Amino acid sequence: MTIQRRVPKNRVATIVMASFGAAGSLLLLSGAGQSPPADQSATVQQVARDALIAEQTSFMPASLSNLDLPEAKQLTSGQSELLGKVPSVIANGPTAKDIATASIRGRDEINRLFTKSAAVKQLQQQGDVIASLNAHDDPNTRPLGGGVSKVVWDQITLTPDTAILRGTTVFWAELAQRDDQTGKWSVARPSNECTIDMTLIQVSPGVWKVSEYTWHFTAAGEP
Amino acid sequence: MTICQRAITATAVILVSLLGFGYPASAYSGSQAASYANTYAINRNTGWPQFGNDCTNFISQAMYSGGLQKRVGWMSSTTNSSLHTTSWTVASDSFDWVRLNVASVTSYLPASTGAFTPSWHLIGDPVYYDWENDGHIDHASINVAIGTDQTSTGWTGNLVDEHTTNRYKVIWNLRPYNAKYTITSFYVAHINPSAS
Repeated sequence: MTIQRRVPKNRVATIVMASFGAAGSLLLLSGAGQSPPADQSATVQQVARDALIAEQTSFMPASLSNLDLPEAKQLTSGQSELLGKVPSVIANGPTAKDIATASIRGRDEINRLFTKSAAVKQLQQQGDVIASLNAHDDPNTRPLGGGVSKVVWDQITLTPDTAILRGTTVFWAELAQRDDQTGKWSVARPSNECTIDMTLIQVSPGVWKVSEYTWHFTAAGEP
Repeated sequence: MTICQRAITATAVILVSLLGFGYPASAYSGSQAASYANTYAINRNTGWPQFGNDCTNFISQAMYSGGLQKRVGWMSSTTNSSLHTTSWTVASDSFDWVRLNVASVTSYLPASTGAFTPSWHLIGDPVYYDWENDGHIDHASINVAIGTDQTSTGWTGNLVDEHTTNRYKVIWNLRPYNAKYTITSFYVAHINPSAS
């Protein structure tokens, strides 16, 4: 969504909104007679959500994250043992081309959604690690994918060029590990609730990027 | 000895007695520490204060059981939950204290580290976790065995016990439980066997 109208800086100091639930509901509005910039809020929330997803998934090789996994025997909640023929991309790992493609796509996505300095931090944290895992540094682990299953913004503070969001989300991941002793592959799907603090800035009319981002496990969500 | 000195000495003796300094006095036994951790991994020891984020308190109890003595800089009262050092209860402070006082080896391990910790990292040695890989340690557990994860069958390697989320003999890198496993990095320490 593109923002057509920008609120003049000299007319509205700050608009504070608190929303609960994915749809969000306006609870508090303070300002100087302005109508709520709902389009701005929606854009900011979308960019924030995309950034969370990008952080969790961007460097996953498509050959692994789009796998049609073989029949699995459920062992425990969120954990299953792969039966039958394990896909070669799990057994052998992704190809160098797969890894390179994922790396380019991941960098593009992070650079699209984060400011330059924030992107550098994200790339340091994410890119090297997943590339390392995929490059068989640990031949018994394969990252299969991940995502964000729920985003709830408890507080959204908007100014014309800055947005501060605070909320919670549930990150999930899927990964396979081979038992060295038996050679069997099993898949785990961990999910953890986290608190999110995010600042976005409007870098050009209608274009928002994440400039600061921190997350922490909630006490109940800690691994 | 002046009256003032006697008063100070008496106070020190009472403090030592109250806090349990000096016991146990033998050198560090990793297996004893692991045995304690295995006993109280799921059902917490009500003889000690409990915390919401109990991970470091738990491994400190285990290391104490293994032979590390309470001392100035590393202690906790069993009767007064507000009387403890942060090195006993806070993961980052615990690592700093362990590294400077009782460890013979420490090492940073990246998120891509596999199912086994370095061979010098033995049973009874602590593991520290930096969830966000931002240089700040957030969590602690204790190495208790090598084997198969008791919760998620199929994951074999070094196993740890942990609190906050109470877990018994789970894979040390916690990957099956951590959706942020691609970021989480680790610090491991080996407690000098002659430490006490």
